[in-house]
Amino acid sequence: MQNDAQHHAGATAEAPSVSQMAMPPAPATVELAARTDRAVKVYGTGETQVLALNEVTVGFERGRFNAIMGPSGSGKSTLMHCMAGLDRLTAGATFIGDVEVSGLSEKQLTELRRDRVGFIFQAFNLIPTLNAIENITLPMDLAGRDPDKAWLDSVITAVGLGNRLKHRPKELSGGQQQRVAVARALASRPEIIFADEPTGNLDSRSSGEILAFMRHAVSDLGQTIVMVTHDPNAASHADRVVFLGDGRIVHELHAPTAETILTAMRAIGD
Amino acid sequence: MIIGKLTLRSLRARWIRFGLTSLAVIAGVGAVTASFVLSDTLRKTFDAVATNATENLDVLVRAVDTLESDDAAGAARAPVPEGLLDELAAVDGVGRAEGNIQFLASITTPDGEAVRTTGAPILGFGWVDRPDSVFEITEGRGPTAPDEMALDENAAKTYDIAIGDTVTVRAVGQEGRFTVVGLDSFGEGGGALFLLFEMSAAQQLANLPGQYQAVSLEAAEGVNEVELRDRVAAALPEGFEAITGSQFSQEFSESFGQIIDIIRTVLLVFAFVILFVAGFIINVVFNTTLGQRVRELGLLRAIGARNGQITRSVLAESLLIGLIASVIGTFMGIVFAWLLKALITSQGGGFPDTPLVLSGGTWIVAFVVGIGVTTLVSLVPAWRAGRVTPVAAMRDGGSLVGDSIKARTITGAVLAAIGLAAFLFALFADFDGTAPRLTTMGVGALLLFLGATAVSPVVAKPVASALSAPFVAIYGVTGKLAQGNAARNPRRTATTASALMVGVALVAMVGVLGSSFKATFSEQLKTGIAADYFVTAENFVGFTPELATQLDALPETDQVTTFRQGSVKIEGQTKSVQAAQPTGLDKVVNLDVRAGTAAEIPPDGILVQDQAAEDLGLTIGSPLTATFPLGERELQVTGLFHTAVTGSNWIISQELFEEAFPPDVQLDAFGGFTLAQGVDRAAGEAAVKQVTDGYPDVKLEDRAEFQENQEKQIDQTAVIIYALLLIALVIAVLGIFITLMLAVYERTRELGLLRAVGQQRRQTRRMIRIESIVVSLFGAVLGVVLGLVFGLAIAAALPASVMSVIAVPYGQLVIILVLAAIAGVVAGFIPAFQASKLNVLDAISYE
Repeated sequence: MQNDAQHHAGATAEAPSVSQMAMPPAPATVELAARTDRAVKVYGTGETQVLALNEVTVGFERGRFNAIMGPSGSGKSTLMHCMAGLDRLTAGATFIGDVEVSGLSEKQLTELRRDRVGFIFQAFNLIPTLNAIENITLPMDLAGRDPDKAWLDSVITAVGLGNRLKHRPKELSGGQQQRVAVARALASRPEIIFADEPTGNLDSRSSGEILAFMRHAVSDLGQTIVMVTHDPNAASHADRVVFLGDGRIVHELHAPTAETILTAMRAIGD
Repeated sequence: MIIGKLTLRSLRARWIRFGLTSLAVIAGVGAVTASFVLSDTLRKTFDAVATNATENLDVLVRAVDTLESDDAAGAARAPVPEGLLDELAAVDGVGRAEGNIQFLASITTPDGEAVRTTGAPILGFGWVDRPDSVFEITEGRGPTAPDEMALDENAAKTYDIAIGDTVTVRAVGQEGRFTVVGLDSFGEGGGALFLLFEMSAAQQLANLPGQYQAVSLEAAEGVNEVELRDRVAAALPEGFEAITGSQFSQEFSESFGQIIDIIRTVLLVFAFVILFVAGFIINVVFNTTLGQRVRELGLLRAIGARNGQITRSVLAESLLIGLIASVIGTFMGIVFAWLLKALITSQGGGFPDTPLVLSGGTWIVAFVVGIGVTTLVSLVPAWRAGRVTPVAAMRDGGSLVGDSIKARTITGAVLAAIGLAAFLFALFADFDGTAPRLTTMGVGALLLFLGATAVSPVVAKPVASALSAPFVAIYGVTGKLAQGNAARNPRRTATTASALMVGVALVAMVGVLGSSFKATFSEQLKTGIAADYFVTAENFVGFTPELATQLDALPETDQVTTFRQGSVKIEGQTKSVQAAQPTGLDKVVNLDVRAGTAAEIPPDGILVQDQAAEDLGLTIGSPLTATFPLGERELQVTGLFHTAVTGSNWIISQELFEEAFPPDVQLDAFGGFTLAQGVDRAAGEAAVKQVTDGYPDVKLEDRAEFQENQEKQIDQTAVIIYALLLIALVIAVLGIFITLMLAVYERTRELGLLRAVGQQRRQTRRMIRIESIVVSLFGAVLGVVLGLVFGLAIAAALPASVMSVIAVPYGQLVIILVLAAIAGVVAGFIPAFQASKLNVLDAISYE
């Protein structure tokens, strides 16, 4: 573990291997799907400078459903973007598996997102000119890889889109569109799936369905999900909730319920 | 007020789009301006030349033009006898009278070298020594004896000829040796050389001993030109006329005016094509950007803006674009004109150094055209923008209401049908004159283009999909994404492609006509021409009959036939007529004689093309009265032929030509000959070459060279047309570029999503480029189809003597498509780059 980190952090000037020892509860037997090491993100310069991430060190275990919560401006989206290789850190490091994300070139970052990360966004998740199945296999098609047929079938069955696969996104409801998005994120069997307010635009019924699918993906299909949300109900489907405030991790809950989350939120002052 | 402010804001916010849109209008207005500026400048220049040349001329006396031709200055006329000069000098009020002689000459240097020009003629003149002569003796003196001459100082310099040298001069009348006694200069002669001779020598050379071509009179003090003309006219014998210097000057400039009008019309046609293409671009840009602003427009409506206010705001925007583009376009036009002028001058065209003329009329036309086109094409988008409902502000991804595709298709089909009908009617119906025929053709083509544009959205989806299929096969999902993008907005794709369609259609049409001309020529050469060699005058005037005589005298040659050209009036209509040697015409060309014979042309005989004969009700043996410059002759049709291989429907004998046309125009324009039986090709050629080497302005070609050069001429004409169409094509490609830029902007989120889920920058660029190629190819395919329709229709309508073989240049059409694909890559280059350097995070959080 430690050796691994050292080896991969070799490229960066500050590779504080010592901090690995201070990782959040992570039994040596449990592998981390993604983690950060004293991640710092600064926006702007001078007077208008904002410290979005202030030395955040966090790890997400494989096969678990994680939620990141926090008030607006707490840095939760920034954390997710940096971990997913969509944005770059000012200092520190993030890892997907044992790959240090911050050391990758633009091309490698794209490949990382394509091959090892799945995405579910709040809205506008699908390419309007492609039909549902084409959207689902898009990352693999971009890579020029053939999808794992059996896995793909099980994913499609799980999200229940069987008869709508040839439909274009505009012929699908909002809930169906999000289901396609979840299927796409799952289809390439990534190391980790990042979901940014995946139910933010949905009614409560569709919301519940999507969260149930995500739960199913983790529990039954062994996937790893990190979900950014401000909805305590959504977060209550997770195994663990990490609370951010002013760019730092301020609290953490395991096996949360909506009530414990609300209590925690009130305590933090959201 | 507030609407005005909105207009300005919206312009400022989108200045790049504004600039790009304007570029299309600027080019169109520029082309219009350039056509006017150039033609006005040419006209002024020639007016100045005419005025200058007739500065000391008050009255000109000459033979009447029996043919009453349009071009009075260029008409062949009977000569004026020398005796008349003395009579005229005696008329009261005449201050000075002098005879005019001008002729085409060739010179050989003392070393036996022929003097050549870049194609401009070498002209000889009868010299009258007076201080205000248009010629200046720059060194030595003017010629005073029949064996003396003054040589153009340019020729003296180039060929190192000095005063005192003896040169050989040949002209229509005779060949002679002259001693150079002085050097002369005319000033700006456009590359032509000017030789001065003593008057009697000049008369001999011009084949007019004891005669003049005309007599110039200068009035005595106190007599004006009109007064003098009337007095002189009263004293003139039958068959002569007196005109004032001003009238002559006007005739002179009018003879250039026709050419200038043709130049202007041609340039305006291209300017119109450019504007037409620009119109498509502006329309698509307005539709697209207003579509992107639907939410903003909805918001304006929600907070209380009326329909009309929004429509007016959009119209004001287009008006402003039109205005600014017109101002810039006018100045661009001046630059275009200046460049064209410089180009003509650099090609030895001798464009005199006059400043460019920018008349008030040019300004008005430029502004009417610039503002008019811009406003016209934005009317519909503006109206649609006004129809946006307040609810649109609340909806995501709204768009402008479009006309129904069905209605559009029906309208388009009707327009296209009317256009095609008009086009075919123009080609095959009888018209009184060329202008209405061309106008009908133009309107037909215009309607066909508009109709095709209106119909094309229906085919845009399937055609774009089909064109993308190879890319899908090669590039997989990247190709599929491009395919989807090209087909997702059929109206936009179709309009953008239509802009390219127009230019490509014209290129394809010219290609079809050019290759058909070549095929026809090749066919005619094979079946219609028996000559082994050809001689052509390179000075656009002709060569002396001496050449034919000399060639004929060679034992190596068999039949030598040369052709003289002139005009004749038959049944009140002016026809161009050719004259050949009385016998042996059939040995050089195969006219496909249907009645009578071409082997021999009697002095009062005439060979007529069968169609032309039928039009005038003539058959073999019909008598006919023809008016020649030297008077009327009674002729008889002695042969009817079908193929006008030589380019004329009327052929007479050289004997008749010599009697019916003045002696000074007895020049051969071109000719052909065969080698005698059994003569070795190389030996024959060497003997012939020895003769033609003495005629520097005569080109000798064998069959292969002849064909090659004719084809080269056809190609060159096509290249000039392509060059002029280039601007329209560039604007169309620019249109694809603009539309793609707008599309990239419009699809920011989508592009961000693609990049987020793993599309490489390389793949993003490729995706945009493929879309660009597909749109470009779509336009090119439409254009090639329409171009084939135009080209084949015109080819079918042309008489068989002009076009008997229709050839489709498949290779060229393929090249057009390949070039269109390359143009697509070029147009897509920057949008592709723009799309690939999108910040993924910004793009996915883009609102």
